[in-house]
Amino acid sequence: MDFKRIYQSSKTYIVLLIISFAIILFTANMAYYQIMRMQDLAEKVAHTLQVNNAISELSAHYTQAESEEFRKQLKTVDTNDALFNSYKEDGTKILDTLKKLTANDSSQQIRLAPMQSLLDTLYEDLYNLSKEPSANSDTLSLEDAEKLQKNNINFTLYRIRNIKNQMLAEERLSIKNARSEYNTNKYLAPLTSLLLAFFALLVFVLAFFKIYRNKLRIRRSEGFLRSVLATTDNIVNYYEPLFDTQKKIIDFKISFANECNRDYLGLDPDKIIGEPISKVFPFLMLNGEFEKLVTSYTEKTKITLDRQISGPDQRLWFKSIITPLADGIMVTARNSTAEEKAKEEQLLLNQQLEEQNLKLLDHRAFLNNIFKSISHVVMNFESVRDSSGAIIDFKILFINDKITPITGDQPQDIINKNISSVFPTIFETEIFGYLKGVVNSGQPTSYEVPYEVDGKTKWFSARAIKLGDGITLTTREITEEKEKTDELLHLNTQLETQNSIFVDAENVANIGSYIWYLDNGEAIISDNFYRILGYEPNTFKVTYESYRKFVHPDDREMYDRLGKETSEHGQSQVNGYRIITKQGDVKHIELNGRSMVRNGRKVSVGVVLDVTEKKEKTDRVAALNQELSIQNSILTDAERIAKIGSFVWHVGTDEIEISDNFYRMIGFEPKGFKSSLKAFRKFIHPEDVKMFDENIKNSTNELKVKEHRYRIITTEGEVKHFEVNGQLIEKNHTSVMLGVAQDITQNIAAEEKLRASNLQLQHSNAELESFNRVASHDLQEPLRKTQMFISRLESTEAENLSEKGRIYFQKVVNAASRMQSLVLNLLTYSRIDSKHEDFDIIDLNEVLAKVKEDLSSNIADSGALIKSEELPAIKGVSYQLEQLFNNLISNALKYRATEVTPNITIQAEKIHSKQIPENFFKIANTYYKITIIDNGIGFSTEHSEKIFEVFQRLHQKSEYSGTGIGLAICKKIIENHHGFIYATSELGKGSAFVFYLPA
Amino acid sequence: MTLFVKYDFNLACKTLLKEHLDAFGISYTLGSLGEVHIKGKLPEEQRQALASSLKRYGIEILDDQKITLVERIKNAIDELLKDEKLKSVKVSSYLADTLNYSYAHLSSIFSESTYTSIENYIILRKVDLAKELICNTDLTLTEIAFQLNYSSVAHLSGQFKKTTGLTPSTFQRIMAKKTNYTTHSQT
Amino acid sequence: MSNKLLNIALADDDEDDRMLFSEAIEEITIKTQLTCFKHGQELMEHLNTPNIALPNLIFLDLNMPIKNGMQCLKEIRSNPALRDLCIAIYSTSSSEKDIEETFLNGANIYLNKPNNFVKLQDSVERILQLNWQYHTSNLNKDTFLFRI
Repeated sequence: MDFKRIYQSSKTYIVLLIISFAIILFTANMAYYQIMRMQDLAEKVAHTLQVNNAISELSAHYTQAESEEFRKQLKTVDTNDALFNSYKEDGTKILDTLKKLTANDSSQQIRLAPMQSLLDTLYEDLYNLSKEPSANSDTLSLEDAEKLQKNNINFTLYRIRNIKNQMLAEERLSIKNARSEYNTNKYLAPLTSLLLAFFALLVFVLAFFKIYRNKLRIRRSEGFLRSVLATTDNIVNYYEPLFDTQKKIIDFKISFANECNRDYLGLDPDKIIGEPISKVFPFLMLNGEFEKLVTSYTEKTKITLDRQISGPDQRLWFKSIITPLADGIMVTARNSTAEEKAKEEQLLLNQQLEEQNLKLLDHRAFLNNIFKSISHVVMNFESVRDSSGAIIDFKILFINDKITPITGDQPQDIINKNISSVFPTIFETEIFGYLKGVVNSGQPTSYEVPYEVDGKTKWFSARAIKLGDGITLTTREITEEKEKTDELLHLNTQLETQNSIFVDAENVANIGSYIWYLDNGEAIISDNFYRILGYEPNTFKVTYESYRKFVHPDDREMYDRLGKETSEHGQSQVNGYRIITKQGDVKHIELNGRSMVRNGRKVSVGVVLDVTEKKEKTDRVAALNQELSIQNSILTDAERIAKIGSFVWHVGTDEIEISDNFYRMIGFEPKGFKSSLKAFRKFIHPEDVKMFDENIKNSTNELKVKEHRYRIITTEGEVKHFEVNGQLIEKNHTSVMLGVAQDITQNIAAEEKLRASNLQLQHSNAELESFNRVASHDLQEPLRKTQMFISRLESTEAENLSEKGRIYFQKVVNAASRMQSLVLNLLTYSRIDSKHEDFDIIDLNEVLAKVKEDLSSNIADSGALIKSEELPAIKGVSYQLEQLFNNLISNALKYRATEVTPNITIQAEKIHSKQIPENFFKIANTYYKITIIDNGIGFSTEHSEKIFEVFQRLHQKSEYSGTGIGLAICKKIIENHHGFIYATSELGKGSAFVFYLPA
Repeated sequence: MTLFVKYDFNLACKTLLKEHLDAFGISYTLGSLGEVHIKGKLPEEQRQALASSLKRYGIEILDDQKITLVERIKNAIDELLKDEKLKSVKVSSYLADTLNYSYAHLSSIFSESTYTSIENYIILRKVDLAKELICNTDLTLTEIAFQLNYSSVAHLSGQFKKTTGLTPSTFQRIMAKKTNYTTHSQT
Repeated sequence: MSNKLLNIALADDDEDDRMLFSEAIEEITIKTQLTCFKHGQELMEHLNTPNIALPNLIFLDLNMPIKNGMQCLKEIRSNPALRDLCIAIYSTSSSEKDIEETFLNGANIYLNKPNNFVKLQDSVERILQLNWQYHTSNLNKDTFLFRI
């Protein structure tokens, strides 16, 4: 709604109205003027008529003088005087009247002026006439005299008539003028007034329409405002002030209140209108808002305020705007409860987000830890596609630092590069094709790939999984596995060879072997077994039933017994029967089998011997033995390498066979003594014999094997730790334990060492703690008192001392203060302990700034220049790092060369752990190398280790003060932070203290 | 001839005081450490008469105007510290304006009766306010520094450490522990 | 006001320290009356005597025979009649653990025994001033915590 237009238009209308008013006023004025003119004219005409009348009366008057009769009457003596006098009086009266009438007309006056004298002449003449007859009796002369008299009269009369005629003509002219003027006015006056009236009417009508339209518009805006006020969420109230007798505002009356009062505050707007606010909103009077309302009203300012109101059933927040408006104030209160709630919710949400963020960080840190701790190279690639959408390359988005030892690349250097530039070899092999396939199909792929490292071929197994439009590639070095597999393959070939030899041997020895599955009767028999039966190998399927046909009918009963016993007990008393071959030959065979579990199935494994040709057997067995011994020697080598000895123990007996390496492990040549359990027992450490016996007993009784550890004392007197494990098998109806013993001395020794050093650490910690107590209290107490009394003496007794006494006294003072700094330094040294401190991220720049401030007086005194590069932030303990910098910088200041300005430079760089030549245990991949260089007196290189030890001082006390603990403290702090410190120097040229801290 | 006397100074003074106060018909009780609690009000002329009669014995009625002035100075300082609008006002001129005495006068009166200077008192009071804000609000040190018109956190921390011997964070930690400690030991 | 003698108590088993302390407190501007106790037990007996004027400030050594400073502190703070006494710990120990523990048990001030007489005087004077301020001004006694 265009409120402005309404406001502006009314202004125009006011102007228009004023103009129309002016016009009407003008019109009225004109009309009045016209009317006045007309009246004037009318008066003029009436006046002229009066003048005419008077003139005609005058003319009648003098005409009387002409008449003879009048003259005769005049002559009549008795009457003439009276008559003449009355006649003269009449004449004077008429003339006076005429004079009066023409008083305003100067031209008439002029004309009238001679009239008096003329009339006087006339009267004189007439008087003379009336007197004549009596004085002059001569008729003729009388007549002549009369005639003369009469001529005089006539002449006077003529002149009078002349004047009269002139006057009449004048009057006539004036009437004529008046008439012509009247005629003009008669037409003009109504016309102009009509025109003007019409114009005024027009303006009125126009104004009325405009005002009417404005009224409509205002009504519309009013309606709009009302609907706004009704539908708004804001409380809109209008207050008018109430004054007391001193014209002071004591309250406000509510003149308007909208519906929101009901919605938010439960107040009926109709009811509260007209009420004072002190009654409706008593809280306004309490918290100073009333004063604000008054201020707003009196100073005509806009005031905003926030407040909380306890509504009918909840607490509400309002943002109020107080606006002065006309003779009152408008209060608009916006319910901001929702905003406040939203704010709170947002705050809550923010908190949640922050928590999630923290979790995410945790997860990320966790993931990072995983990446750090696993030996796998983990990479994440993003596909790079050409315009047609085909993958032409991959971009490395992530790679962990396990790549470094393989390719020498630093992850941060190759991240965001394309693999074509980092691993160009991928394009030469089919790997790129694999990776493309993974992205396109979404199917994970595994492959193995060789990689040249330092001239050696290493093998890697990689697994690629699609992730987004890219690949996560996990690569693991499998060189060792690969080598082992190769070895296995090699062994396999060997075994195959052996097998074939064995087959030949079987053939030669007429032996067959079998594996008989006891659960379903199926059996696998060797080729020679087929041949023994007169068949070519693998020509039929062997089962318990199919084989039974070959058994001699007389021996079938025995065969059945064999099957039954083997199935039920795993072994049988039956060890031979006759068979009839395909060719019908009867052969005697002996068999020897044992039951075992194979692939989870019970089987009986055994050999059959064609004893028909037993005679020829012997030489062939010899050949077989030879092959077996080859196999054995391979095993022996393996044992020696792995420090493993194997043994076969016949459970429950003293009989034990041990492998060659086992002999060596005890310090003998193979077969260096006759192996028996008893003989072996002698080598067991006396403290472990009891345990050994118990294990033997348990194994014998329970037929179970547990892993054990014994100590062995070798023939050389060396103590070795053996870890023994084995398994029990049945052999020739007795239990046999096949086992291996491994020499784990080295592992144990390492463990032992660790435990010992831990114990030592605990001890030294406890010692340190007690030292701490001693230093902090017991040692300080007497020292403090000494110093206290020294200070007493110094102030009270110093003057009483001799010169020498004063020198001694000063020495006592110095010694005591030196003792104190020693104690304090020792305390500092002993208190530096990593286990109680939490590591925080510490900005070394801040640390340095603080130290510089602490040392500011020393720095100023020595005039030292300290330059420092931008230092990193590291994980550490703030006060320890301050101590570190403090000690190093104050050292640099302390051991300054006397003749030059001390110059201290602090440098920092980030380097990879591999690039650090110094040998110390590195826990991180990257370190910060911080170097503090001075131009002081330096020290000779031979002392560079010594200076970090406690109480190692290179200088005489008197030359440079110091306790000899400062650098030891530095070293301890650095070690606490898993770092390393060393110093290089040249005597007289200055020194450089270098320390590494994990980045 | 010489007479040796032993006298109880305290008793002597008290007896003297009693006699005089009785003579003036004042109802009173004697407190320790030279305090006389008078029931009701003491008219000014009576007070002056009492003062002049006691003066002969070297007993002086202390002018409590000084005490009230010191209290007024303290109140004015509290106002100054609490009022946002007065942040930029200079202390000396503020005190001189509000109390209608020269700052030198105020300063000497204050030091005389409190053993400390106005400046030191203000620091102590500010640190006390900082302590209160640290304990009872969630305001950060930065916010507290701003509220108490310190130029920086470092300034606040420095003054806090210098005054209390503790860093704000140590103080906060001890107070937090102390609250737990006392509630814990009570239950 | 300035004529008032401040009533100060000191519990310390070390005779030298008692002597030095009394010498120090004598020479400062605030006028005091010092009572010394040889150990915690003696102090507690004195404080528990009915109708005595309680000291305005107690200096308490931590390491004392028979009853140590920490025990005294705890006893004073748990006794409603003595709870409001102002207590300054006066000890050689600069261990943060000791300091924190005394604050937690209600000590107001912790003073390390200085190794210089002037320092002792300055410290004692500062403590008396602080104590004065806390008793005469509108300062919050709950946060009356200073390390001198």
